[in-house]
This record gives sequence, structure tokens and C-alpha cells, in this order.
Amino acid sequence: MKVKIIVVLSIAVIALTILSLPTPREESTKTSNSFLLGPVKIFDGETISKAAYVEVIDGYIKGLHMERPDNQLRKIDGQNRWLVPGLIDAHVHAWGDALEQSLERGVTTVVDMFGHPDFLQQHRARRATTEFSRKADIFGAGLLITAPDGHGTQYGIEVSTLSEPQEAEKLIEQRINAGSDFIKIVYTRSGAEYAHAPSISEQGLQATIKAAHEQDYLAVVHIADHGSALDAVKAGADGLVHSFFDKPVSDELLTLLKINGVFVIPTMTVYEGMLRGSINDEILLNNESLEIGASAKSTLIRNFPNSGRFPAHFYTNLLTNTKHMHEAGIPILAGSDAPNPNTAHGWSLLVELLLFQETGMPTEAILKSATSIPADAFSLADRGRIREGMKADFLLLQESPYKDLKTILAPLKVWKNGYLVAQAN
Amino acid sequence: MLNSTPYLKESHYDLLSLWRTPAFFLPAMLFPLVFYVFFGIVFNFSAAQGEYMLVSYACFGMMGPALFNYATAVASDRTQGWLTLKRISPMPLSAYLVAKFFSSFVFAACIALLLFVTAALFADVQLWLWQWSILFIVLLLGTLPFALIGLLMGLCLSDKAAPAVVNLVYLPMAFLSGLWVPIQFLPDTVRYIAYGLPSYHYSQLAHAVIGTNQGHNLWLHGLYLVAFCGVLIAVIYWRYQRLSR
Repeated sequence: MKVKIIVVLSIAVIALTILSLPTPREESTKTSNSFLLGPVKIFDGETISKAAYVEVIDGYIKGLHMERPDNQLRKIDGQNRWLVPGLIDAHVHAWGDALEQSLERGVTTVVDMFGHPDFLQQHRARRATTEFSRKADIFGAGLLITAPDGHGTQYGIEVSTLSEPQEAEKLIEQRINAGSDFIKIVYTRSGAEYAHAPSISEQGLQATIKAAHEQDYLAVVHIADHGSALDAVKAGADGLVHSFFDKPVSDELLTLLKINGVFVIPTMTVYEGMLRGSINDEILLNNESLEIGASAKSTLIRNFPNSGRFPAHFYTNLLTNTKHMHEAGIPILAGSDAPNPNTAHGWSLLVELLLFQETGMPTEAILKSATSIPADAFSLADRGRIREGMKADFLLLQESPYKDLKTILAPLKVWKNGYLVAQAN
Repeated sequence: MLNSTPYLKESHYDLLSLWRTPAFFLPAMLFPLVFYVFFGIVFNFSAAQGEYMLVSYACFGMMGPALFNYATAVASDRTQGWLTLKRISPMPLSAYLVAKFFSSFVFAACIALLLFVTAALFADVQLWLWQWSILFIVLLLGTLPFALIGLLMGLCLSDKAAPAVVNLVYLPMAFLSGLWVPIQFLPDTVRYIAYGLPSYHYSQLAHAVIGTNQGHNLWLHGLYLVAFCGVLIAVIYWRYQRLSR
């Protein structure tokens, strides 16, 4: 008898404990993804729109109106706040819950610069739909192109590598068959003075870019120094997925970038961690009003082993290079390189935008760098703008981003595919 | 009809003897918890998500007591002659084994709940109710192969050697199966070693509950564990026969 009571009690305790453990919020699709939002002030991805009302049908923007149209749609009061397109992070490495974490911060689309092709494949179908989802959409390079034992082979994902330029075509075909949306190549000029992993040759780089272009695929290049950037642009790269800080950008490189229409994703946040290491404290960690999750914190506070061993002017180079490139009319894309040290998904894109501000870039250009510019650079036709026919991915902000860009750190509401997915308390 | 009384009695007393040695059960219970808090939450260097770390460290935490409880208890019972006494008593020997397995079950259940609550409170882990429940059951049932390893060690080692040898098996096995650092961050060679370890297959089954397994067929993991248990039971039987001579 006594035994029975103890057994029953123990089971009850176990059951009660398990029952009281937290579960994810109920995914509510009760409200449809058709509505009329307004009045709002709109940054449409390029500039301030004259419209004040956004009509959304089935997760797509149906039209923008100056006056409130007379229709049967559910009305959402915009309280004359600012509406901006869902942000695009042009440089991430996504696995696990990266897409959820990004979306919570208003990053509705991420561009993955190297990850397991299965992850990309798994989430590919969803990006063309407007079904309810708590994940950001992902476009990606899949596996990258690198040399045997080169950068990118150290993460435990099996990567086929390029030893000879002749192998380029075969490798590009492999990537395309595995579902890559574009081609990412890792390159360091031979003779670069800093410590780096083995790299493909300049001929290999040229052959790879050529092979990608023959298949009508975009070829973007990972570089980390001025010399390699120059080689990459000369070889015909469509974009550089990092900036560099070893030297101020030369006029030669600026001209080539401009003529070839190359875009640059400076990834200043991740570099800031190596060179200065104070931005996260300043903007995120010391701001108690922000709720930063434990896993985000853990990568934000991480350092690269070589942090703090660089001369102070390298950080100045980093700032001025971004500024000069922007002033020369080179498309600058915001990308966080999360979850590398000093970064976290979602959060670090916002930090990147604030770092752009530190370079002196005008606010409108900064907002474009995370909306219309990346959409154009990667040919993402249905996003990056608040326009008819685009996905209803957007953020409602507390203040005008033109006045105080920090307002993007805590958006009031985030919509993805026309569904409200995040909301300030 | 099987007489269940000796089984219940033996289980009761085994648990009671554990309860009366808090110097054993408290550290054994706190060790996985401390380990999880340290490396799964506070110094989470792998940037894996909270759910992932919970599952890995739960597997790690559950294996340990199963190994230790058997290995050290059986070794000391054997060296001190207690096992011989039990064998000449009318109690079936299986009652002794069942009792030991029962206590390590209770142990494992407590550890799992402790880890679950800690994860929910401090690592923002949120799982669906079915995931919490199935994870609990998988974690619990999966301790069987480790209990058997522990039992075999207990039958082979002296009471002084047992804890040291258990550590020598337990810690490397956990590391090589990706329970500390996610397996995808480990070199290729390690991944091939992992395929041979029961802890890898155990953790893959647990990871499957939250969808973070490596995508191998779940039946293969299950089959491996069943086969592993089968082989161990055979070896234990053989060893036991030799001891009885």
C-alpha cells in the first residue's frame, strides 16, 4: 500500500514538473495575413514614401495609399509611426535556431555565406510562400569554394576543394546541383603577410568566377586584405563579402569596384571585435532595456584569439574604407557574419548599421544597406522594399529612424509574410 | 507466477542505502548539473542553441550515474563479500540487478528533472510538451546500456579501481560522442570513432526529439543500442559464470 502511494506520488511529481516546463508560444494563425495598416510614415527601402496606408493581401503588399481606402480589410492602427522594410542580413552562417533568432530582431531575410546545403534545402521552399513562420527566409551559398585545408574546411562540414583551376567548372556544377543560390569563394593573395589558411591561386579564382558566370551565377569573394580584394575585383567578382583594414582603400581599387559594379559587405561588427571590442557593450550589453538571450550573449562576448593585437589605426582604416567606398557610389550591404565571435544573429545586423553610422554614412544609405541594396545585389525580387507585389515583411518603429537610428534595436512590431511575429511588451 | 516481494524489498533497500549515503548521491546528482550550468549555459563556446546544449548535457549527465552506481556499488559489494552473501541467500540474483537498475532509474529521473528545470529557468529553453515528455523517456530508457557497462566493470574491477576506470571510460566517451562540444565541430576522425560508441547513438536518439540529430536513420541508432546491450548481457553472463566457479 505504502509502496503504491509512493509510486503514484513520484509519477505525479514527474508529470507535474514536466507539465510546468515552458513551451513555445502557440503559433497563432488565427488572424489572417490580409489587412490595412496605417496611418504610418514609410521608408520604402529607398526613400520616404508619400503613402500612409499599406494594403496587404495574403502576405503580399497589394497597394500603398495616401488616403485610407474604403474596403473590408481588417484595420491595424499604425499610430503614425515609422514603417521600414524587413531587414536583410547579407552575411550570416545559419544553423540551429539562427532563422528564429534573426526574425525576432526584425531580420526577415538572411543571406548565408557558407553552411550545410541540407539546411538551405530544408528552408528553401518556404521563402517563396507567405505561410505563417517564425523563421527568417534564407538564401545561401551552400558550400564555399576553397583550397584543400583552406578557410572553410575547419568547421567540420565536408567541403570539396579546388586544387587546380581546371577543376572549377566541375566544382561550380556540384554547388549548383547542391542548391547554392550563388557562389562564394575564399581567396587570399599568395604572399599576404598575415597568418592565413591555404588559399586557391589567382588563376583558380579567375577560373571559378568565370565558371560561375557562365552558369549565370553570382560569384562573391571572401577576402580580408587590400591585395586580395584587388585580385578578386580584377578577376570579375560580383561582390566582396568582407572589407579589409590593413590599408586605406586605394584609388585604383575604388575605381575598379565602381566600374565593375562590385558590392561590398564590410562586416564591420566582426572586425570591430578584433580591433576594438567595445561596440557590443556600448550598444547591447549595457542597455538593460534590451532582452538579449543567453545564447546570443555567449557569442557576443566571445573574442577571436588574435583580438587586440592590431595597431590602433587599423580600426580607423576600417571606418574610412567603408565611408570612401560608399562615397564612391559602391553599393554597401549590411552583413553581420553571425554567429562568429563578437556577433549574434539578428542583434549584430543592428550593430552593423550603427557602425555604419559611426563611419559617417548618411542614415538613408544605412537603411538602404539592409533593405533595397542587398535585395538588388542578390536579385531578391520580392523583398527589400515596401512596394506593390513585395512580401509583407516589415518593422514598425517607435521613433523616426532618420532622427535616431537606435530605434531599430527595439521595433514595436515585426511582420513576416503579413503575420505579426514579434511585438514589444 | 513470479513472486515480486523480493524484488520490491531489494529495490526498496537499495534505494534506502543510497539515500543514507548522501555523500554519494548528492555529488553524483550535482555533478551533471554543475557541468551543464558551466559549459552548457555560462561558458557556451559553441554557440549552439540552448535546446541543443540541454540535450547533450542531459545525455552526459544521465550516463554518469548509471555507470557509477553500478560499477562502484557492484565492485564494493563483490570485494567485501556482500555479493556472495546475497547469492547464497534465497533471494534471486535478478532481484539484486533489478534493484540496482531501479535506483539508477530514480537517480536518472531526478537528474533529468533537475536539468530540465535549470534549462527552462536559466537558458530560455522552450520545448513542446511532447518533446519534454519523450525526451524524458528516451533519456531514461537510454541509460540501460551504460548501466550494463557499469555492471560489467563492477564484476571485473576492485572497489578501489572502479571509480577511476569509470572516469577513464565515461569522460572520453562523452567527449568523443559530441556531448560537450557539438559533434559537427569535431574533426572527422572523431566522428568515425563516435559511430562505435553507445553514447553517440544514445545522444542522437535524444537529439532526434528536438530535430537536431545528424539525420541518420533512427532505427539504426536504436538497433545499435539493442545489439550493444545484447552483447554486454552475454559478456556479463560469461563473466558471472566465471566468478561463480
